[in-house]
Amino acid sequence: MSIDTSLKKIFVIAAKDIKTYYSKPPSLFYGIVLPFALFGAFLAGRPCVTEDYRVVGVTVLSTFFGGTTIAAVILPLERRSGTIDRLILAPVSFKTLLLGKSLAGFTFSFPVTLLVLSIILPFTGFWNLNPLLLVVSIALSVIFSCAFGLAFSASANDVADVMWPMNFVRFLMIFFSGVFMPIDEIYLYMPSLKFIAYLLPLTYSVDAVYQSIVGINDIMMLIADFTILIAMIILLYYIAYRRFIKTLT
Amino acid sequence: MKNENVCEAVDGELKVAIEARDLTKQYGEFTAVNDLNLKVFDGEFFGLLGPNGAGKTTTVKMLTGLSKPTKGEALIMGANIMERPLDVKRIIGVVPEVSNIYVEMTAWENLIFAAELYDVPRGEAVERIKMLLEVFGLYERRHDKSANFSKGMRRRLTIAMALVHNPRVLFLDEPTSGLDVQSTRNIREVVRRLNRDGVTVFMTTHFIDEADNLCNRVGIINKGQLVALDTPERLKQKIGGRVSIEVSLQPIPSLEELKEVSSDVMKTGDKFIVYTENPSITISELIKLANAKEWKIISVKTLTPSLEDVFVKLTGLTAVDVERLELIRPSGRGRGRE
Repeated sequence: MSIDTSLKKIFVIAAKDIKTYYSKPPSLFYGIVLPFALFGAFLAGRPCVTEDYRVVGVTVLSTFFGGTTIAAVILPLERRSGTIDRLILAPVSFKTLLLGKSLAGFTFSFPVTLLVLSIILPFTGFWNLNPLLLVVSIALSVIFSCAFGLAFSASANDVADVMWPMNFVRFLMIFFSGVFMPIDEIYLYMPSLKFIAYLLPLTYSVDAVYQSIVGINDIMMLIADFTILIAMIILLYYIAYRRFIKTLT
Repeated sequence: MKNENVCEAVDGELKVAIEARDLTKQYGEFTAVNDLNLKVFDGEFFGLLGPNGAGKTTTVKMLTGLSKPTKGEALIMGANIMERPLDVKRIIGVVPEVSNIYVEMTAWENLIFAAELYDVPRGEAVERIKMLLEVFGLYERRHDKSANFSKGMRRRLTIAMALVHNPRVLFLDEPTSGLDVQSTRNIREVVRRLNRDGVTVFMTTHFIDEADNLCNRVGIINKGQLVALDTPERLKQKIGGRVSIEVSLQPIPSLEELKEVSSDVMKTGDKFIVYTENPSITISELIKLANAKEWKIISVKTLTPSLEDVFVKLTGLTAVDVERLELIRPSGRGRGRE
């Protein structure tokens, strides 16, 4: 199949998903309501959170919850209604199919995150914001989140089967990746456990967003952020693809 | 839409449209389909009959690439579905057992989506979709969300979606199961017409009349194995030694009482079907029994073997099983009468 045809089909699948699944309760709850609720709860319980981390926190939560949720909700819903068979039976490669599903997650999470930021930033100040870097960081974070959601949902038959294990991992990642405060502060009393943060891909997403909003303070770390996020995206798509293929056996 | 990439397999003079070679599917220890070998020729209307759980849907899934065979291979127009899935999927249309439409979208949007998936050019797609909506009686409701459609309408839309790219081979898995008479007739008529126009049809059904009336050839599958494969008439001839007598008596006796005449008796409605190798002797005995018990004989008919008899014999179903099938069947018995 030519690249043109594949691209067209990615858009066709994504457009259908946007029409069909954006208004579903799990998409709205996990994709929009929950990140804001978490942000609010965190602010109320942790007055020590600095303003720059509040902005970074809500940005990363928005990309992470939006991207993972849409990607994770669509496949099980399609499988439950049997419509996934329609896609499998069509002359569409499985890679194209999965990319179409990711694009639906991306077009949900990316604009929502930019909208949230455009509302918050005028009230908080712009620090040394680098718009291009911010867009790239958010885009990579959203793509990583979509791949993460797909890897979880690729073989699931029910939204609940995906949500409980994924939420468990998502919350662990949020609290150990320095979403709302610097990693050094999180592990202040247990510095030997700091390596956990560096094992979690969300840490790199947080750092990339932080440096693009507050100002570049460690260029090597920024390069590492992008490299690791891209590597994780490739790995997660491969896992999603393998798990999806396995459903045919 | 023809696809020149898919070569056409030829068996003697006939082109082979669908071929199963040692097709096997195992789920753990359970074998759903066992070493299935089958050829369906281009332009043929083929029916796969079998009781529930016999392996019909699994066979369709393997032939269409929805399920990977544990062993063996499935070929469509000579191309292996697992090796060249995209080439094969372009020329097949599949109607699964469950109507899988997007209920959040209208009938029109569902069909446009299907056309886009199959690269049907926009202008051609619009014309074809209009025609399909007319044929399936959905044109007036084309802008309604399909969530509001009845079961029959959803089924018709599912079939229309499978036809939007003009497939050369059409797979139908229980197309009329659970539908009202109007939808059933509409679907049968459309499929019959498609086949007349050259589309190869592979249909699974447990409606024996449907297979008998529509199919050029039928295969009977039981417990994952193909137990018969021939034209409906030749299959009936193969069990030709066995004739049945339909008798209606007043008052209606019990099944046990009639077993004095033959051990193989089945009750159907207010009548009984008595299976026999020698109808004249059995009829004499029936009359003798009726006189002795003072029953009034309302009617007696000898019946030639039907496809249902073949099915019963080969699948080992009991009379009770067949009665259960009768209950969910939309039309009459379709049995040949002498």
